[in-house]
Amino acid sequence: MEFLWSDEEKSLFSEFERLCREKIEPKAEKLDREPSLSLIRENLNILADFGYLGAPLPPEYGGLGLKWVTYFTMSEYLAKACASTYLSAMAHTLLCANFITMFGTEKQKRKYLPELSQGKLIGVLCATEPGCGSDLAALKTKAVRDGNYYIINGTKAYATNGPIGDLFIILARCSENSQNSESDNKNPKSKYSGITAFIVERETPGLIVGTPYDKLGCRGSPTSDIFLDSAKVPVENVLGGVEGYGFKQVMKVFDIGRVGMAVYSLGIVSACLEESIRYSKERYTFGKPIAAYEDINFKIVDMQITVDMGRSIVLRSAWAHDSGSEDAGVLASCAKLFIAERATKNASDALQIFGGLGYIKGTKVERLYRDVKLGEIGEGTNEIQRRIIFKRLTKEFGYS
Amino acid sequence: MKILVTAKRTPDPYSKIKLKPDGSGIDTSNIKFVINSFDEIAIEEGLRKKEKFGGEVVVVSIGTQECVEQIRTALAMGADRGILVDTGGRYLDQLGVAKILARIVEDEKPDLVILGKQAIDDDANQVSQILAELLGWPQATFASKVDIDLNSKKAVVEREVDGGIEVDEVSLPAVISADLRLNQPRYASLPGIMKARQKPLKTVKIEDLKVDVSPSVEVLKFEAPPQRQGGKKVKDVDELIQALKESKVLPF
Repeated sequence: MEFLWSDEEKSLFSEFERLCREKIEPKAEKLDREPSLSLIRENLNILADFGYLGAPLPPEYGGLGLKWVTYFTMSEYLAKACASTYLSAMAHTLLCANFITMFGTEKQKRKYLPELSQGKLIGVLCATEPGCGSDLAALKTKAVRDGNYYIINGTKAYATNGPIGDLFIILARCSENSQNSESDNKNPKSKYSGITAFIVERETPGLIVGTPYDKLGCRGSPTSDIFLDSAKVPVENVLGGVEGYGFKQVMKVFDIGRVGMAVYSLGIVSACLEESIRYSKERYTFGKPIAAYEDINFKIVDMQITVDMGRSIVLRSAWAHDSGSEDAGVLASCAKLFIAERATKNASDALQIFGGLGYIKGTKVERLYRDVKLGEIGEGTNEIQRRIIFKRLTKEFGYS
Repeated sequence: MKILVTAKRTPDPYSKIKLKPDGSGIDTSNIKFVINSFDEIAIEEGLRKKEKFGGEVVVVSIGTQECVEQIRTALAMGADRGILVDTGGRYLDQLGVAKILARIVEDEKPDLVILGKQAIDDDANQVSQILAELLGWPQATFASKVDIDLNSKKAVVEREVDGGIEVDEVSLPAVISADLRLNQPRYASLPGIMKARQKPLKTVKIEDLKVDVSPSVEVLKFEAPPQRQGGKKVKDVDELIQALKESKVLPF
């Protein structure tokens, strides 16, 4: 087994690292302190110009067809430079564009993917609702067929990119009488029954975007509620063309998205590590730099372990996705959970190394400490990851 | 128009330079190499002129096979093809480099040659001037603005000189050297990097060029600048003035 990057991949990494360091990182503090829709949009445009937003999408639809291992490896540089920008880019590419890539009809792919690749449209996935997140199948948003349209009513919560979104994928439940016989959920009593993904354009009458939330961390990436007040969506915008597959589809989409969230936490720890090493050599106590003290060393070593082990498990789950392995989903959950839990501790340690200075706004680790927590919540909490991993394990052993 | 640009392989300006223990050169084992920063500006200017007037940008690098990396980066930025002059690792002085470039220019017949004003490793600032002389072409060094008029075959170049900006008009073909403020080089894009692999890259052996490059400069030894000595603290202004007098900073 060999892990070797091609010369092309190496130059891609070094060029992207430079772009993130020179163009994205300098704006990260401002974006956190004064979240601005135009600034995040500007960052996404820079990434689109580089080709990052469409990097893993198929070349026949305007993407670059990058392998997942390559895409996720380069993504760490962005997550390290600015977690907010990374989250928005990731949600756009992995949750919206990649959803259409995986399950869209030929016509939907031709219509939307080129513009999503170029960042002309910003994508949003609306799955969570005020009353359901981990238990997604309990969603209440309803879609009722009316001639050549569906009328959608409901409220979606925590939509990443909502306020800057142009294209929304909305999960809604089709009413039972319009259930398609081809659906995989023939039992109308099943809680997965009728769940369908719709592609909804920003201009659709009845689609209302809420005001951005005031968040603890990842403040530069705008998140909002999405209200559907009799939104009128044409029948051809049923994602994949057939009702009732939404739940299965979105679970598959999350399998890749979770690797993306693992990289989110990984990038933040990588930044914590760099900051901690720098500061521990600069800061003197009792006549010595604090790097000379064992308790500081151990904290830094723990970060290094997260970064190294994290990269390995990200690569392994990305590789599993590239090779279509059945383990891909479980690996993604393991990667996200493992890195996110350690990352929260690591970021807290980094702040501790900075002491009082770390508690002050404007110190980078203060932002990292707030940003890092999302890794344990977004795209499935730690708790739901453990359930997913266990469910898939026991299924394999025939227990469920 | 056809434009020839250069891409010297130099250490990343952000890397920490260490010398080999015997002083024969710098220790390159842990150093990242990039295109010389001024050459990068020259390449960018070449690309902008190509985008405006059409034509072709040819990038030349002189050195070992490792310079392929810098040529590929230039191709990823948008240059059309590359030429590597493989020196087999031998030392060249500035005259030797200029002679090789002159030989390439004879073959390629570009309308314009743009080089970085100097390389950030040896900071010699000689090649563009010597090259213009060897070719018998007009030169405009330290360019901060280049306007080209294809009809009259002329370039108006603003040059950064000590007293301010000097505006020169040169007829084409000419040699121009790029200063820091000429432009802001672009980032190679992902599709650009992927396309670069397919672009033509020709390797020429230095012997095959039949140019006398035996150096007239000999490198004897590399030395690090002396370590800064610790200063001393003074009690008051009088003592300070006394100390400055003793160290002959103050003449009286």
